[in-house]
This record gives sequence, C-alpha cells and structure tokens, in this order.
Amino acid sequence: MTGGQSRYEFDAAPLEPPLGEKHIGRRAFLGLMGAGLLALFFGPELFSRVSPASFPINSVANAPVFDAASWRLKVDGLVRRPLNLSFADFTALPQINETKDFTCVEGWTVPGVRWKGVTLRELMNRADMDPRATHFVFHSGDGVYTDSLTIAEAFGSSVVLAHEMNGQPLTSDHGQPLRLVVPGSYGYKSVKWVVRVELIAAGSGGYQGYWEQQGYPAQAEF
Amino acid sequence: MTFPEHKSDPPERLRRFALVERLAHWTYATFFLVALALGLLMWIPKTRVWLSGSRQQVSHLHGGMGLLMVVVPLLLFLFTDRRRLAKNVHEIDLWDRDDRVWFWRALRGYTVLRREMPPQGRFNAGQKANAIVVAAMALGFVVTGSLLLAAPRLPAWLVSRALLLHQILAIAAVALFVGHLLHALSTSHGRDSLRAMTGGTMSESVARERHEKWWRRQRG
Repeated sequence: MTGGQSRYEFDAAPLEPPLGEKHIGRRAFLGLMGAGLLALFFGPELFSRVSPASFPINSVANAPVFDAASWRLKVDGLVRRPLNLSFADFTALPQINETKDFTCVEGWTVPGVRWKGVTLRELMNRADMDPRATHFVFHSGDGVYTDSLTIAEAFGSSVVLAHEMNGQPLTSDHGQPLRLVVPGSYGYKSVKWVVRVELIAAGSGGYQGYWEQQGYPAQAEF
Repeated sequence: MTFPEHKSDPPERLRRFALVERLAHWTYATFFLVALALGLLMWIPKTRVWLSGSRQQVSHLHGGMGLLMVVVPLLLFLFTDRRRLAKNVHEIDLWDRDDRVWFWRALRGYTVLRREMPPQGRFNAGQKANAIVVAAMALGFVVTGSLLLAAPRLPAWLVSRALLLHQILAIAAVALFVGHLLHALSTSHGRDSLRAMTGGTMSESVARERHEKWWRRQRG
C-alpha cells in the first residue's frame, strides 16, 4: 500500500469549485446493470426466439466415413436376441416422424427440427430386452463418444434413432447415417454416428458417458 | 508495494497516467483480446468444427481469460495503489456541468466539427462514459459467462438468455474496442493519449487544449 503524500497530479486542488457535480457515473453504471438484467430475462422475447441461423455442429472427434454396404448397427448386451442390422434392415423397420426443438447445453436452440427414425421400443421388440437391463448405452462410430439413457428415458415416446433430418438423410456432420434424438434433454445426450446400442445393468451409479466423465450430469433434462 | 515512478519527465510533457493505471489498461486489453480470439474460435462454424474435442478446454480457457481480464487490473490497484483506484472511480463518477455539456455536444458531433467544447479534467466526459460502459460490460461478461460455464446444471431458459446477452455484449464490446482504437490512432490528440497510456506523459499543448481544467491544476 502506498502511504504518506502522493506525488500524483490529481492531488492538486481544483482552482475553482466545480459547478453542479452529480454522481452520473454510478447512476449510469447501475442503469446499465438494470438494462442487462432486463435483457437477461426479456431478451429472447425482444428478439423473438433464440435460434441460430444454421444448426451449429458440435463433435469431439472427426466424423467417421459412412459406407452403406459395410455399415452395421449392433444391438447387444442384456438382450435375448442380439441384432446386427444393415442400413437397409434399419430403414425397413417401422418408422416415426416427429418435429421437435433441438437444444444445446451451450444455450442455443434450433426450433422445429423434423426427424424420421425408429423408436428404441421398436428396436427392443426385436431384440427382446433382458429384464435385468437398467440402461441403454449408445456407442458412436467415432470411437470416442458414448452416452446413456435409463430404460424409462429411452422408452419415452419421442426418443428416436433418426436417419433423416428435415426430410433429408443425415449429413456427415449431423451423424450420418444414424443419431440418437432425445427431445427435452440437452443435445449432448443425442449421440451421433451410432453404431452400437448396448444394454447394461449399471446399478445405482449409472453409466458415465463422454461428458459425464467431465462433470456433466447424466440426467440432462431441462 | 508501489511501482517505481517517473524520475524526471520532460518539461513539455505532463504525467497523466501512473504505471499501475497503464498496466491495468494493457492487461485488461490483452486478456480481452485473447478471450475474444478464443470466443471467435468457438463461434465461427469452421473453427468450431476444427476445435472438435478441444472445444471444452477452449471454453474453459476463454472463461479464465475473461475472469483474469477483470481480476488482474483490480488486484494491481488493490495491492499497489488502492487510493489511486478510489480516486479514478471518484473522477469517473462525478460529472460537473462542463462534463454534461461536453457529452451532449459530443453526441451532436461537435468534436468532429471542431466546434467549441467546455473545458475538461484529466478524463473528458467521453472517456468517463467509456470507462463506465467498459466496467458494466466486464461485469456482464463475468455474470453471463459464469452462467454459461455452469450450464449443464442450469435450466435451459436461463442458459439461452445468458448466451444471448453474452453475444450481444461481445458485439458491443468489439464495436467499442474498434471505435476506441480508431480514435486513438486517427487523431493527433488520440495518438498523444495513446502515448500517455504507454509512457505515462501527455504533451502540454494537448493537455491545455483537451483537458484544460486538469492542465490548469498542474500548471496553476
């Protein structure tokens, strides 16, 4: 700390008393803080809806190359009839269409995305789930990313393994040929490039996927 | 502790900024620019894809830079010259009649038109306004940035609002930074102020012309 007399110029007394001094600085600062709070709570209403111009791409590894001839979806683990589906087998399963918002944990939402795909319940009708199973684990073809859903979450009516987005086959950036879509949960649960669906008995500890290992909650409903 | 100060300034130059003020200014600017660059990396679609799995680390680094941008200048003052910080805040807070007239005239383009302006102190009203806006924005960045870093545990409605405000603040901060830089480089008194922010001293002629009240106190 400095002590004693300062040598700085500002210590010199004004020659004349200033006229009409007001605490404008603190008022302006508080005013800006108030404006910031208003923008925080009413900003989206003022700006209609928070929606990016395009669908931002997030991935933790490079997109794997999709080859329709060799691609397979494995369904294994605690199931009585493991599946090994080609892309043609998968698209031949009963399909559903749904339109849902896609919300990322970063704060952006893409409204009204149209998805087409197969529900996990439909898949389990064929694989015959073992009653000991507690979680679905979804493995990405990038070899890095995994995430999980509890059985109850996975059987939610709008959870789907999608191969089309907005009427078009998924592009490579969006998980071609197959991605999980979990409406109502943050996007990190919606695993891209799904090549394996594994059923496990994870117990009370649950399963730690890619982001859960970095501190994200396993339950990502918002 | 105190920073070593000027031994002898040239007679035609007046000491305007102490070392701690200059260090605080440049550390703020440096951390701001690094945080901006990291923020742009995460925002531009191509670089965002390029970051891939490193995006989380870049996000934390961006947040760290934002925090340092606010904390380091404050600590510099608090541990070296707390009194000077209080004095600067006091100067920026108090606006006399000349400040208010100067500000409204500046908004009406008087400075660009080189029309008569009221005399000013060490900070003119524009510099005071800039400091207030920068301080408010810094706090806004810290609050919204903290919300974004805590996002996985927060409701989506709050996170989306924090993101929107953070982006608006970033655009406004860049606009303010560009204006600040252009002003500092494009006018002779701006360049002299820039010199004061690097070397600490300002020319007597600019001080007399642009900061008359302060100049009179120095020479009176």
